[in-house]
Amino acid sequence: MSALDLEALRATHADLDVHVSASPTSDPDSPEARMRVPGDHARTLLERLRGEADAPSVRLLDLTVVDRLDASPAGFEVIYRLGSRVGEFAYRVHGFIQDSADDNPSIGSVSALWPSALWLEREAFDLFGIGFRGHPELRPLLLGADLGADADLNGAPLRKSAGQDQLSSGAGP
Amino acid sequence: MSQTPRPDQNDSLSSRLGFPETTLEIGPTHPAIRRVMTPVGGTTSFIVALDDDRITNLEVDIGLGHRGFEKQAESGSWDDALPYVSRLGWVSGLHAEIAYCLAAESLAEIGLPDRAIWTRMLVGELARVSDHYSRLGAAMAAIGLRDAENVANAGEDLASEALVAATGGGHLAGFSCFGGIRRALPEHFLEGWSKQRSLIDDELTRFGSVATSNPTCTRRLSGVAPLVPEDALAWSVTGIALRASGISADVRKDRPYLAYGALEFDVPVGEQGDNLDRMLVVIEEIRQSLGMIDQCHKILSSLGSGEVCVSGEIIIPEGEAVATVESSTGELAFFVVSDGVGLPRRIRCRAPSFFHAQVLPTVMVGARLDDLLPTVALMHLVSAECDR
Repeated sequence: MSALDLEALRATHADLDVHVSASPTSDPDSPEARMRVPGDHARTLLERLRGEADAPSVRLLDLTVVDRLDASPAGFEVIYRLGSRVGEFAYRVHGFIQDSADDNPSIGSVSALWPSALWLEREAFDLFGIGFRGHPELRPLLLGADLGADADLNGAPLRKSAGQDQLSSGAGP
Repeated sequence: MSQTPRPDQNDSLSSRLGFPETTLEIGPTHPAIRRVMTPVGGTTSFIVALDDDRITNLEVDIGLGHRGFEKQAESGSWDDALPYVSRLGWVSGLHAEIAYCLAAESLAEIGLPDRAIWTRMLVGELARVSDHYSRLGAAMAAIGLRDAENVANAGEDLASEALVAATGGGHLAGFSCFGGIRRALPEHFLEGWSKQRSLIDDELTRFGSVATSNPTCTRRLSGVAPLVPEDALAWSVTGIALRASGISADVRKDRPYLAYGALEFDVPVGEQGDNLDRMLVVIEEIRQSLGMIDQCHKILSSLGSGEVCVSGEIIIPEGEAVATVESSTGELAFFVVSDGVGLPRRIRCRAPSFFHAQVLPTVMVGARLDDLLPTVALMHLVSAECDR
């Protein structure tokens, strides 16, 4: 774990209420740190992990969402997978958005840190209905207006509540 | 007769004629007609603003081919998703299958039989050879070099024949399963490989003479759509396009999965990150893959017959896992979340083409319109994979 010191990560980001652990299934040759952080602190943590503004040391590999509205505590996990240039180490940041009564979950956009997040965040907005505060152009990316506006899908088809039966019987490949 | 003032040399022809900017929508096309009309593009459409034939703005419109891939994969059991996963894209299905199986196997902590490991690598490399040839063919068609296109298509056909002989089903083989592979490679494939290999290799030599050493080809590709390494990293570009920009990043070398750590191969990189470098990297990767297939073939021949899949029921316990493979398009990853209840909570697919579509405006603005399709081909943008 030479490239990744979990203790140091914990100490550096203690102010952000970060929970750091080693990913159980990660490869010992390219260790991955799993970092759980409240959604409001996610962007700050990611900005620190990214490194120097003009020479970022990590790249954003992927961004996705996991629906945990049926779990306790209920909410959404926005997952950022970061990796070093050639993969000596990786971070997986889980930003947790607590379920709110107004059903308008949102998290800070990282599109200013990595431009590749522009489409990734639009996709998450499109399919999960998560807002990304500060995104310059948050509009649907993959869905047509008809499916995106479907009341049964609530405009967020990848949420667990969106009709599984309807999708498997109707709009097949 | 009064003389009309000479037009400013900097003015473009279209602005002198009174229509300063033209907007053109290219695509979408049905993916199945690629051999007939358009070699690339598929369900992706490109909204291009033009000044003369220079691209002043490009909007890449994706999503027409979106088929709810992840939702569909999450709505059945873990292995119900397998046939769907192998249809991720018509070129990278075998790699997607391998990545998805690796993710599930890492959750279930299953060790694979040696034969399965080496066979997965062999068919993965064969699929790469076939796909790389198809990219070369598409690029050559897009610049109008029919003879070079035919050579590349012949190479693709030979590699696909070998793939069908090996798996029984080509790209949509349904070849991998949790714990191994569905069947061992047939004898006739193992016996016929060296002959088929030399045929595939011959096409590569022929391609060199009609494309790489053809000034018409190199002039059309050189200096076109360069991607600097900083942009490649910022836009999360992977695969051929990243390596052509001079960054030696290859999952098979950096974070070896299966038994890639035991294979000998080089990672070719470019210098300029332009279309010519992309083509040269593709050609060299075909050569490297053929070498890898030889090594896998030798090991498999020495292993003889035996178990190719672990037996018994496979239970996917609670947990999360990521598995990344180097597909022919780039870094293809599955991130899976299990509650241990039989149905997956989340199956996320990182499709490399998605990122290649997103970066296109960065490399294409300022380039010429007729360089768009060769770039789409050489950046490895596969619409089905991009839209999921």
